[in-house]
Amino acid sequence: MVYQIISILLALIPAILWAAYFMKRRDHNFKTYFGVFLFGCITAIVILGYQVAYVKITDIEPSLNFTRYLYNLINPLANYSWFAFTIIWFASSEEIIKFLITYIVDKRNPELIITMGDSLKFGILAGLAFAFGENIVYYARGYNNTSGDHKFVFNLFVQRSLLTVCGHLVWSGIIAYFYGVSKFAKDILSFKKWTGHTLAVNAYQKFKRNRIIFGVTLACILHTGFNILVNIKLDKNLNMVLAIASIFIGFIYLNVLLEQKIGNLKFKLADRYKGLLDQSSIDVIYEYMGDQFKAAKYENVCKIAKRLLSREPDNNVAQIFLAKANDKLQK
Amino acid sequence: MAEIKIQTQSENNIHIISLQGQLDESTVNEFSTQVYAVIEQCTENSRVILDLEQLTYLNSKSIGFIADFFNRLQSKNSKLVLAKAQANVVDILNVVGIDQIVPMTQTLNEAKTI
Repeated sequence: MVYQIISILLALIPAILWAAYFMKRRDHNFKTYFGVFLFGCITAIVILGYQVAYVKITDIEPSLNFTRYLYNLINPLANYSWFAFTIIWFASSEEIIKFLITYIVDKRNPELIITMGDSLKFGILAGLAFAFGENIVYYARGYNNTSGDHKFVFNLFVQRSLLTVCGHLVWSGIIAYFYGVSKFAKDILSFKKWTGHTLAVNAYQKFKRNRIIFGVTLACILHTGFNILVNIKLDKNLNMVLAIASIFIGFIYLNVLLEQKIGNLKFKLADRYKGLLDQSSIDVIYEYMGDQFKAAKYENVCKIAKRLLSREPDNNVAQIFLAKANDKLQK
Repeated sequence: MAEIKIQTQSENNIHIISLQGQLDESTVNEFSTQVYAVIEQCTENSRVILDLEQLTYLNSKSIGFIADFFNRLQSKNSKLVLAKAQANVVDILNVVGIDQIVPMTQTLNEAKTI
């Protein structure tokens, strides 16, 4: 019992520090944040339980090992690749679960995610919660397997706090960023249309789906790569260096995405937005801004967008034009 | 397909071009051709007034032409004025910023004297 309590307390340290950093202001969403965190913890314990159960059950009944079955379809040789394939499955299922947490929160409370920052906040919270739940299990298991070796568990604590927790934050952040982009698909596609891109009839659904798939896939790849690296042995601990580098690269990539002005925008949900100007007038203005954008007259685009926003502060398309033009001017 | 009727009246270096209908892809070239022809005839210190009272719609290409009319007339030391535009047209021209370079008036008399 003592070891379980110590495990929980150790797991709490990075969770509280990161949560305090990301949830700087206390607001009316605190209950939802706590609910998401709890949900994330529970899913972590469930999915870890599933992973342990999967290994135990497939040891007893190999015919139930569908990853081996799937792997044999691809390559019946090279035994160690089965190990990698299982890691792919475990890492991917964790990322998919974390995505589903953000997705479910958004579907139930669409007003909670109105900025890219909000999307990131919930995604990272889900990742943090997942890592917290995972850490409790790992520390408790560590104590159990070593008959209470504090030094072993402390080393595990340092490694997981510095690496795995950060990894979960980065991977969840990437999923959350692309989820945010998909949520504002209508306005982003409107910008693309007015700047001369040809859009297919089902462009909206395709865009939303593709952004989500891209974000989740990228997170799965990064997580899988990390897991493989920490589980293999290379000379001079090169595998650990590469594992750390993979998290760092993911973090840099996320920052590059967020540094684009579009990452700072605040959107009103498009289907609830009612403009003040009539739609045909707005379309002419968008068309003109699109022409100016294509002609690289970005300063003019900014001026027009600002004038439009002074009349329609919640106009998402104008915000995107302004953000994209500012990005161009800064290059 | 939209239609546009363009009537021109000229007197004492003041050219009033009245537009009736809509300026879209199908009519904008006819519009620009006629206005350029008037500008070509303008001498120094002329004034071209676009009477937009009966213009119900203009597209982005026509906005571009208006800006070009202004520049060409300015090179001849002449003026372009937009008169009696409908509310939706005023909104568009206001947001895109044309009103900051081309004066807009509510009456033709104002347009002749501004």
